[in-house]
Amino acid sequence: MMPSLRHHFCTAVTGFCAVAVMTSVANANTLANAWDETTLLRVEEANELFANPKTRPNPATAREADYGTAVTLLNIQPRTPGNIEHSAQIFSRLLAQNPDDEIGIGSLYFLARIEQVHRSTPAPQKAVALYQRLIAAHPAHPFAQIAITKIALLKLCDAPDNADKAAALAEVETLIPLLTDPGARSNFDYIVGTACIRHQLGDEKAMNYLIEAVKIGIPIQISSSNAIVRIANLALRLNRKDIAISYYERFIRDFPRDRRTYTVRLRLRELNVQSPEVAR
Amino acid sequence: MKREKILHSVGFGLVGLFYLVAVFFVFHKPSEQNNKQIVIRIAHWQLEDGLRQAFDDVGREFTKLHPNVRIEQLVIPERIFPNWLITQLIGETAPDLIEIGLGIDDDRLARFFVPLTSLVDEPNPYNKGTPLESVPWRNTFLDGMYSAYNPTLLDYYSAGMTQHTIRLYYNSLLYETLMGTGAPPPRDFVALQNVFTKVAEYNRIHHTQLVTIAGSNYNGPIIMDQYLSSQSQKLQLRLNTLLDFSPTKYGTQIDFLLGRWSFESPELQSGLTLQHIVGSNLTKGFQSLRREDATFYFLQGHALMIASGSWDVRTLRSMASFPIEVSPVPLPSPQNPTFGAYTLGPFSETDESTTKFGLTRHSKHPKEAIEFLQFMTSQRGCQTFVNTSYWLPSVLGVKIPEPITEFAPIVDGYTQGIAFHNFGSDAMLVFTQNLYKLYNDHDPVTSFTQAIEPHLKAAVRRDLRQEIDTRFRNITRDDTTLAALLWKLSHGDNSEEIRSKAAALILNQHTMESDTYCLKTDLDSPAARQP
Repeated sequence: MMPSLRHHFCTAVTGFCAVAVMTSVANANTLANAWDETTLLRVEEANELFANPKTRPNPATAREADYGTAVTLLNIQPRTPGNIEHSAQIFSRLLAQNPDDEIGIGSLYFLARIEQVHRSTPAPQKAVALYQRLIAAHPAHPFAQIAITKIALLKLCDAPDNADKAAALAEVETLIPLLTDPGARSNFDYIVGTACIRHQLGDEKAMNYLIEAVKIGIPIQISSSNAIVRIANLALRLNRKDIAISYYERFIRDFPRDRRTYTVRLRLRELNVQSPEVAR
Repeated sequence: MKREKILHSVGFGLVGLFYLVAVFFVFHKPSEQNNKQIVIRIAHWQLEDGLRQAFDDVGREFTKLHPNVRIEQLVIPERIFPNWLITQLIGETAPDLIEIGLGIDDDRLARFFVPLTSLVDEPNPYNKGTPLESVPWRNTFLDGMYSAYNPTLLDYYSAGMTQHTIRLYYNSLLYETLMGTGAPPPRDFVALQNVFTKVAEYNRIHHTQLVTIAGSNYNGPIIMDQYLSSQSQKLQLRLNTLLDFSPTKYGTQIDFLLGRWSFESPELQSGLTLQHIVGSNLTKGFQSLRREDATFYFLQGHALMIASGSWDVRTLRSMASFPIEVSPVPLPSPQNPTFGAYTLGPFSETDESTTKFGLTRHSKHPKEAIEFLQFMTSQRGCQTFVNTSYWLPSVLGVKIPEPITEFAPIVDGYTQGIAFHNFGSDAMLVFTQNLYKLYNDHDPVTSFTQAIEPHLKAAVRRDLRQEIDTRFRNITRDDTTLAALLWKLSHGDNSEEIRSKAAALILNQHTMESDTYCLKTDLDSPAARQP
């Protein structure tokens, strides 16, 4: 090859590669921007970005863009059964293509969510079956860890008044060994502990669940304060004054400006406690 | 003809001259660019006396620290604020900082405002040299910035400047005329009943029509709800089956449908009796009067008292021709022989911050706007603001100015009981349509209770169905956000912000789902469906 021709060829290849790299970076940025928009609830904007043909130069980005499209279709306004169905179809296709990658796992989770809450006529039984399939296939995945608490709350809370809640609790408790993520365990304990109080499934059990949740850490301040007061009140009902006092005191220390503080302080006075938390 | 020509020339000459003058002013106007002056625009709807001046004072203080920044405020009347706001936001001409509240829902907040979450755990730089120097910004607020957190969007979007409490304002000259020189303000309900008697006596002797408390559809409920609520404090705690001393209004409503309490319960009957007694001493027909009517009535000396919030203190004191004193709303104490049995005591007033400002996405100077927001909510800025506005501070360690010490929030107080505002819009309609019966002279409590009874349960059921629909909308919306957060986490963005947002969202969604399923199950139960 003539040197000048080689030079031109090299320049052309370099240019082509540069353009390809720039395009791919731009596409990745578009997808990243779309996810950013989604976290900010700017669903329409995100959906447009995911639908942009530029985001689909190769099968991997096309798959991600399809997943994003399906996710945003769940909340495009106005929400229509047509959009939900379209979303379900995309998730089903993504799941069939590869059930084991991040997108396949997410698709299975959202198919369950569609059955649980997105369709105009929810199908909780179908949702539970899909959650169980997800947990069986990928038990440690974050979506599966979330799904465990979803099953628990469906069995304990979305059941008729006269349902056997004690049997439901026993069934739900079989899922505990599957909870490997501490955050998911805390959420499970908080939800199940609260359900135990609500459905009178045992004060001791409720208290222990909530104590576990608080020990691990509850990420929402108001939920954390509620759990601490509930533990103290349950302990008092169980005549476990030591536990009651320690959680009442913790509440005053952790939430000094909560409007329940005075009531809690009075409870401590009734228990003849003389600690810095009582004397203000 | 010649004269006409001259007149035309003069006319054109004047037009030309004015044009040249206008051009001169336009090109010589000091602009932001040519003198590097940054203008931060701040919009709110607080037209109360002293507020504009208070914001100006804070702005001037800030400019002393940053001479290149000037603060300009836009005061938009409350009535047109939502329409004005959306025009500005969509037109991308919105001011840098906007008061959050009117016309802003979650969607607009997410679309047009900047989350402040990344800043709330850092100290506020304008607290340097104060005891709050190293305290995270959110912990410098009396409410721990709880009210600035949006549980749907999982972000902090605003910072509040003030808090408010409700008090009874009274004309102290008139009060001394009626009650005797140096008479203390009514501290409990027995003392207030004594005032009612004295006013009635005064009217009889002097053939006047002095009203004890000026009322309106705005001022009336402010005080009346407190009386109903005081009588159901113990009941409310008994109903708190979740044992967190924090009954929710939806729990109260479902308990009503399930027959765990009713307006025939002795506690509620006692509360309605109190409402009748107090309501009979408000301006007649107050339900159809407006806020301005009640204010004028009081300022003209036709009423001895008016119930309002701390936000009115400067307005009322500057407009009145008589001295005004304030006292807490005199509720029955637990020792009251008639109304003490069901009450626990005064309400806790450790309320949430108000007058909250958020940063708009199209702010031209976001850095300076955030700095001003931090300055406004620093000890120095907040002190300047409350010293002029006479509003209560939202920031720890800020001194309450002497003229408003009576408004200091009650910290040692209990949670409130059941009140009309615990209900939804359909139930409120049933109450307001029948409230006049409560102020009749003939068996008022019974006639009101009987009048609401046939309609209330159906209205509460409608309100709760509406609430369940709203919650499911929020639950489904969270799914899209969760997908994005988990995607980011699994693709390298493992920042603390994303992790904590995802953790909060997951628990928030679980909690909302379980609560909503329980509410729905209760609502569908045969007990709740009984007419």
